[in-house]
Amino acid sequence: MSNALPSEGMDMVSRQLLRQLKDILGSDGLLSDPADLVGYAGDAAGGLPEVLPDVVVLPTQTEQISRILTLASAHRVPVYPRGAGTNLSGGVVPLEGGIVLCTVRMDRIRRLDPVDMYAVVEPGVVIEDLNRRAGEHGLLYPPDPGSVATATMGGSVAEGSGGLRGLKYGVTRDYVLGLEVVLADGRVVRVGGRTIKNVTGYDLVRLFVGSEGTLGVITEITVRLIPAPEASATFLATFDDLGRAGRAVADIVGAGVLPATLEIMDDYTLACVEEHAALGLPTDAAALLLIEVDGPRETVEIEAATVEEVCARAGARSVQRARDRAERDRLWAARRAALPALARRRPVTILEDITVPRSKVAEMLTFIREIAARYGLEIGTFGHAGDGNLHPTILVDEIDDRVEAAVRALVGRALALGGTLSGEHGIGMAKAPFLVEELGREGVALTSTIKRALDPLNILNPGKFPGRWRG
Amino acid sequence: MRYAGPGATAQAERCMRCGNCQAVCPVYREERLESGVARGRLAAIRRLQAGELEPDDALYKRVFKCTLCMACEAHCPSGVRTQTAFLGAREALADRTPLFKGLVCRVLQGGPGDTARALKAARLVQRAAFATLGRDHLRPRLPLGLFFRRIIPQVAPRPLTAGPEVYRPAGRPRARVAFFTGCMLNYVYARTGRAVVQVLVGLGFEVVVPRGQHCCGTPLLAAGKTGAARELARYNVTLFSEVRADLVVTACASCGGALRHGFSDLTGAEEARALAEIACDFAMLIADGRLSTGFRGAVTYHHPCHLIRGQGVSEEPVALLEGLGGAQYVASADADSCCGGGGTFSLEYYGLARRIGARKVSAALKAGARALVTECPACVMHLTDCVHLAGAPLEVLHLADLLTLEGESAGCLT
Ligand SMILES: Cc1cc2nc3c(=O)[nH]c(=O)nc-3n(C[C@H](O)[C@H](O)[C@H](O)COP(=O)(O)OP(=O)(O)OC[C@H]3O[C@@H](n4cnc5c(N)ncnc54)[C@H](O)[C@@H]3O)c2cc1C
Repeated sequence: MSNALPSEGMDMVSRQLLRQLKDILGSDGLLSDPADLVGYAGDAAGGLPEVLPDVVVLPTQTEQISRILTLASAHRVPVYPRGAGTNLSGGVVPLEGGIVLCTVRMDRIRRLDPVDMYAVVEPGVVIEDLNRRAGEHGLLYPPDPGSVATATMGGSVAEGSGGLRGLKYGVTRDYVLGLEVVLADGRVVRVGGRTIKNVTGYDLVRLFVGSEGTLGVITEITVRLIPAPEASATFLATFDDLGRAGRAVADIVGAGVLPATLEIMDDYTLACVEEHAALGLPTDAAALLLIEVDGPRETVEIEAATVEEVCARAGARSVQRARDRAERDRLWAARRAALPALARRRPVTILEDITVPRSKVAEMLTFIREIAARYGLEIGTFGHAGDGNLHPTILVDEIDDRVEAAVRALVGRALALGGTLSGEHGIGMAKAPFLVEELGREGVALTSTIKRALDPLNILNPGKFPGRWRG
Repeated sequence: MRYAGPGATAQAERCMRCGNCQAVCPVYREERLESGVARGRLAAIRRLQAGELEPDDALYKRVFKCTLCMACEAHCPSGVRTQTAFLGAREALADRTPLFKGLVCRVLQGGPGDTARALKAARLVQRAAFATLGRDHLRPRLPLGLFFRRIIPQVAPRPLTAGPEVYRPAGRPRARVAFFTGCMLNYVYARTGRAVVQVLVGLGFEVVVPRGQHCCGTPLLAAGKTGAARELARYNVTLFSEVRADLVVTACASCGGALRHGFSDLTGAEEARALAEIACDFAMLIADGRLSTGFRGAVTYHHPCHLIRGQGVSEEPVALLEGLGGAQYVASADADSCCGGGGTFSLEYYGLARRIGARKVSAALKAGARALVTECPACVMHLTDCVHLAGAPLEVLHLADLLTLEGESAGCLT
């Protein structure tokens, strides 16, 4: 998929700086051969330009990061924090050249306290690895983006990621208790702590959560864990009408059930997923809901009955319960593959992340269909319908005016319905042009004030939100 | 300037860069580098094709730093055929092949006679430089540096193909089976090759070991020498078509993959497709037989990449071990992940190959196994080395060895 002409590195890094970086990292922790750099020119966002960095560094300690940033400040060279590079908004593209700082080798779980129920991790820990460890103690770290098996804790905190359990358990920001951050000038600060309650000073933890690598480099994360639910029940409900599936979403919650997961997939997405996973999904259905309720065993059975009843009443064609863990895992894996499976159809995927109040999900789904028809575009929609977060995905051979008009219309309608332009993927480059529409001029100005206060030289992830990128 | 070619580029362009391959790539797990995982390698291939990256040694090192385990391909939701892309890139970089690997390729490319002669010479060298270790393996006499501490298999005194050409069972044969031995079971683990024959004959098959059969070409294909691999494919297809067997059996995962897909992909020949139809993996063929082993203790299984992903064989070997008289089967974690052998990969990236293999060894130990069974001689070779270097109380056995062990375990490394 090549959407825009790649541009070359910007020669931001002098020989002297390169030597100094090598002193800090050793030759194993630094990449400067073009054959390596090409892997760090972009991320999982489609339709954006790629840019080669001048150098990639792979530190293993906070102290190294501090020295790197001190140097970068002295040389006025941009630094782009990067985890696994799976974000969907162009957040790690080294737009202005310079240093990509990749934290994947800081991957130790420093501590897991089963009594106080928290974990202290390095930023490169993969989310699923933390959960595997937590599971050994009967604990759970709920934030669960579709990319759990690859995305890092640092990346997901910096992105403020959501995921498949948002409705009942909340999102990443609801679990971060404390952080260690290296600031743009190399100073190391610790914010927050490890207790649930903590109102000492401004809520600086939340300032860094979702800061997308623009305010500091996160080097340690303390997160809250919760007891893993005793039982769960997973359902697959199919519908002959997309709007009806949307209404079922609101009905389920309206009936007093808060499912851990309430996902939607339209027929287009369904077909692609089935092509990949071959699970025997009903590809003739117009929409599918993946629903999971969890909790104590008795409660789960009661809620399961309600879910079945409500779906039937909402006009579901079928409601099927996963027989066992293996079947449930297969359904989840299929759902997590929705986005890359859609990419089978066309070379360019433009993925939206609009989020509306739950009561407006059905209306938004219908509107997406109208837009697809109006502009003659293929749009596959899936998403975390339970929390109103939808991912209409436009599939094209190349980006043209129709795509831009469609995106504008979708964002406009989401905002008009009381929603937001990004529920969980962040602004990065992809959504930067729309930032002002949601925040207003004053909101953008305040954001810029904060950015300047923390990164006066503008060396951290420059060009992204709240920067100048205008598509 | 050499390019990756249209087939490879088309696949590289299908990549939507989700990075899901990171979760299953054995090389990425060790190094965490984009250049060492499908997403990054596909990016490099696109740049190579666009003329933005030189086909130099640096690129060679990154493109070949891959075990071709196919985990990324099996896992890719976008359906990118990564093997096609990687092999295309390897072809473009084949003129960068390092000397020693070039030599291996030359030996395999020559006729079977050349290979036999070269291996005879290798045996002499081995005798001078190595001391024997256990039944089939060697330990270097001068262990200098990590690479030279490596345990390698002994070249067999007589290749399997130098023995009888036809083996008949006691009664009326159930079927006539041609055995495609591959180089490893012919020249190196000939004893295992004979065990395959023994098991099959014991189950009532007539086994033909066609003389003149030669390397399946997989190592050449992996080295980017597609033309040479195609010639070998043609040669073997002609030879085996003339045997008129009911089935062609393989007990090496890579050879099996070649017969099932490789030969017809490379030659496009009707005979190759006909052979693919009757090609059958050893474990599949014996799955319904009543089998036992003299091995006492828990055994676990390692799925060879070219068997589970290359040929889609996953349940039969495990079911076979579960039902086996004598030993108990225990499941180990990540049984389907690559062992790190990867043919010449373990020659070029030995340190990395060992780290990957070490994970398999500890997973097997954690499962409580005393033997790690697999069905590919290349995996046997690499895992034996990893076990030995870890000093682990574990035997590595080809399935055929397990099934022919009598009494106490004769193949034990001490
Ligand atoms: C198939 C697929 C499914 C996905 N599903 C979801 C989903 O359901 N929900 C969801 O919310 N997202 C989802 N995502 C998006 C993505 O996986 C998440 O945003 C993820 O949390 C990013 O983690 P990462 O390690 O890849 O970060 P990266 O992409 O490397 O970085 C993300 C951002 O964080 C910054 N950053 C990274 N590390 C640090 C650090 N140590 N300090 C400071 N800043 C840092 C970067 O500069 C960048 O701005 C999905 C992506 C894919 C490909």
